[in-house]
Amino acid sequence: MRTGAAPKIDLRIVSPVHQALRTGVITQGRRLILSGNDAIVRGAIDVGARGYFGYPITPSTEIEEGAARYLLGMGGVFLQTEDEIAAIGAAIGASLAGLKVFTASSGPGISLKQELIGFAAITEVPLVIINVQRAGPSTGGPTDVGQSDVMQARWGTHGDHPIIVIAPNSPQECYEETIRAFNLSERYRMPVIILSDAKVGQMKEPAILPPLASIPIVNRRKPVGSPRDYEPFGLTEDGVPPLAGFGDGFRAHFTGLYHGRNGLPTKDPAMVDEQLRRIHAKLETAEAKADILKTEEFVTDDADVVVVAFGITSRAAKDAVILARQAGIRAGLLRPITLWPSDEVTILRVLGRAKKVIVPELNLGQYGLEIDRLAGHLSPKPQVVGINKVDTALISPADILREIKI
Amino acid sequence: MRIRIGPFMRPAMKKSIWCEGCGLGNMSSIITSALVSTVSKRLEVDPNTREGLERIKNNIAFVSGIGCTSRMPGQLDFNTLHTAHGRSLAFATGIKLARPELTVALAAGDGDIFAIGGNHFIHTARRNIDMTLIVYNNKSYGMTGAQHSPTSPLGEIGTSAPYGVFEPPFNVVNLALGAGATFVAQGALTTSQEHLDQAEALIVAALGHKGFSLVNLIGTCHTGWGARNRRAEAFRYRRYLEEKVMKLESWKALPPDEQGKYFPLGIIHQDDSRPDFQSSKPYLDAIERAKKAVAGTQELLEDITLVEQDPLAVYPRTSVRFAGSGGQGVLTAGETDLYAAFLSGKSGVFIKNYGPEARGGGAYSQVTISDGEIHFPQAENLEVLVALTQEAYDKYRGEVSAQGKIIVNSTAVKEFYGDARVIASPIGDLLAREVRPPKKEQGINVLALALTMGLFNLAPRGSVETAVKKYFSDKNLKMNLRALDVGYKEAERQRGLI
Repeated sequence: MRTGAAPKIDLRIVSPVHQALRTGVITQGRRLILSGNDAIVRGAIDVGARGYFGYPITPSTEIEEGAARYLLGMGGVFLQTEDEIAAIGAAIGASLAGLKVFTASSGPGISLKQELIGFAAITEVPLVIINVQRAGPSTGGPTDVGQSDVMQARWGTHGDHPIIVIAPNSPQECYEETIRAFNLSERYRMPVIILSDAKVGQMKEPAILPPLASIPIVNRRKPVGSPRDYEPFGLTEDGVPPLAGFGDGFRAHFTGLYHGRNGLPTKDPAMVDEQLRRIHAKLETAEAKADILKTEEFVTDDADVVVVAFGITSRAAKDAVILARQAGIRAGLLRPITLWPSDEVTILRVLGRAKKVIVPELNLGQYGLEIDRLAGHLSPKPQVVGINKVDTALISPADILREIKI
Repeated sequence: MRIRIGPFMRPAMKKSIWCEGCGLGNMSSIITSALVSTVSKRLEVDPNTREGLERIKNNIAFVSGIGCTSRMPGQLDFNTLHTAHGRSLAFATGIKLARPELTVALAAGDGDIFAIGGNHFIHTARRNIDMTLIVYNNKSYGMTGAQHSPTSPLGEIGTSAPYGVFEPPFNVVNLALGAGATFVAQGALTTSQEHLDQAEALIVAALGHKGFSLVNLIGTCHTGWGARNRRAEAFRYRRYLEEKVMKLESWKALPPDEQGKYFPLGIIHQDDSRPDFQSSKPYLDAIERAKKAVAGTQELLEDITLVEQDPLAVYPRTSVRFAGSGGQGVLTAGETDLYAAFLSGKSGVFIKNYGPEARGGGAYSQVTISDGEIHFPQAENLEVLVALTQEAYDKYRGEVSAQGKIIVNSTAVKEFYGDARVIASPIGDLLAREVRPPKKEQGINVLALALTMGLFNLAPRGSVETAVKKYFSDKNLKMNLRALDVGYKEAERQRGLI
């Protein structure tokens, strides 16, 4: 039975729903068996997303199918577009018209979407893009798991641009992090990528969905005052300008060209510089960092061997760390949930105590580059070792444990 | 009468990037005029009042892609969007679906809309989304410097066709018709006032049409394409166009082999009988069906107590694989198993075989259950394999641990190779004799599930029953509960044998 308003859940802890149940903030929930892909759809719907545009591609298709099943009946919009580019284009258009929207794809489809990810970044349009990673490059293994889009997620579109990338590792987390992704996207007026993978997307686990009233929902800030003074790219205290929807009475121009505070094209070097720096700086405030960065630390306090792992691989890493602890080794797991931007302070703190850092990932060494870069700031620099697998099989706990013991 | 467009221009954008004499200035004026007159009529407001002016502007979304033409929206004080090359129709589709009350218009060049954006063009026409696309078709890429486009005439010279264009152009009208556009018109921007007035009238008619409308305006680029094809002056190029265009009625009277030399001007096709996308019956019907479906799937809140676990302990896990052929419901069996375990406070994870293999007839689901949290989802060994077919048994028995058990459906599996792990149960016969399903093999998954749960006590029977009630439709519930009962009885009998 639906009850009245439940207390709000704090999204900044690892599993906010479990934590809320543990502390009695909520006592009820909806118990379901969900795949990671299903859970993303549920999260999107529960946080108020009402637009989906997509194109079928394995292993992300269940997200489109879920959106097709629910959205039209909830006053929302769903369209299977003619291609991947149209999907993100229509999504940006619908977001500019005021809807919370998402689009999902994988491998080749995410490559096709890159140009418009840049468009959304420079025009500061809220949008959630889900990449259910498969093994690449090119067609690669459509049903095989991979984690080789780590650097693409950060740098895939051309030009300097800010991006938030979130890497969930379970259906429960897919649900919770989708809610957070939308909230970040709306609060910071920017595209957010959920970097899932074929295994997390396809596997099913019990999930607990909280009462709707307990879910924190952030909506984009709208302009107030006279429409004549509206600056869609103006300067504000937190660096995030308000955004009106098309038809709201606050008319504006949106262009992928360099533009001034009023949205109109500019060639003024000072204005170009101001705007490009502002869209990066809005993620740099203390408040923004507290919102955006999220890292799970598992027995890292005294760890001199630290495994840094995300997504599906982090689940093998956790088993390996538990087994190592039982063998008397001081191992710990550092799991970035927000993959980009890097949670530099936390990573450096944990790495600062480590003698050895292991970065297992299903690619030939991508996130390892970032960890190695950060380790380079430390003196003495800990040893950074990658475990890299591209044979379409998962990295197992035994693979990681072996490296921990060396 | 043309409306004064001054009040609709953004003051900062009065100076355009277009060359003197370019037809884009004319096009901008007539689009604005047509939009304002259409929208003021639709909203029943007076554009000469301040309030009327605001309402008109607020109700228009004007969208473009990339190129000279695509700079037009930036000049105008509407809700404007200058998108990426070729993508204007995709963005506009999102706007129109989200805000159907807005009048959505687009300005595009021929390269933008028929080359890089060609796919979006044909599909937007096919869907018949209510928006108006006005193309400035000067048969070349102007902004990048006179390269040939998909509408360039054969043999003419461009910077990327220095020896003459050698690929045939699109017939834009036929392309739009073939894609299902419900309104197709063609105009020209020449020296003639009559042509200009006609072009505006065509845009007004297109905006009045409910559905996708295309107005293809034949235009010029005297500084780019013209300069390479002996029409370097705006006036001369426009005059040249006058020789190339013809009233629709006169054009129709031409012999077919003459028609290809001229562009007919006027409304070439208009079908008002076909409702636009958002008014079409299939779309509205789908929304109604979706509303009913969503209303029927409200999940209830339950009281939940989390079971605390030691995060550093290793909990024993049991992995069970249900394997059989496609129609036997092994995926649902696994999911029901997991749900039953979940209800009894355990953790679990479900994986299925996925990929081309699934289409070969074989299928399996695998559930790992534990009292503690499960991290790595893949089991190193199976504790239990349930093999409903010989193929499943042959394929997966090697993955079962030495101490594990294999429940085989001895009705179908005849060869066990003397494997001591096998528990042979005539699942198929029991189903046919005691459950008597309406369709062969219906309920085999529930029977096998109950047998497994009963033998290995993976969850209490109450939880299994609740799970079966959740996962199996009301229509077959009775039969499935019968299968559950038969399965548990068989488990008891097997226990006696073991």
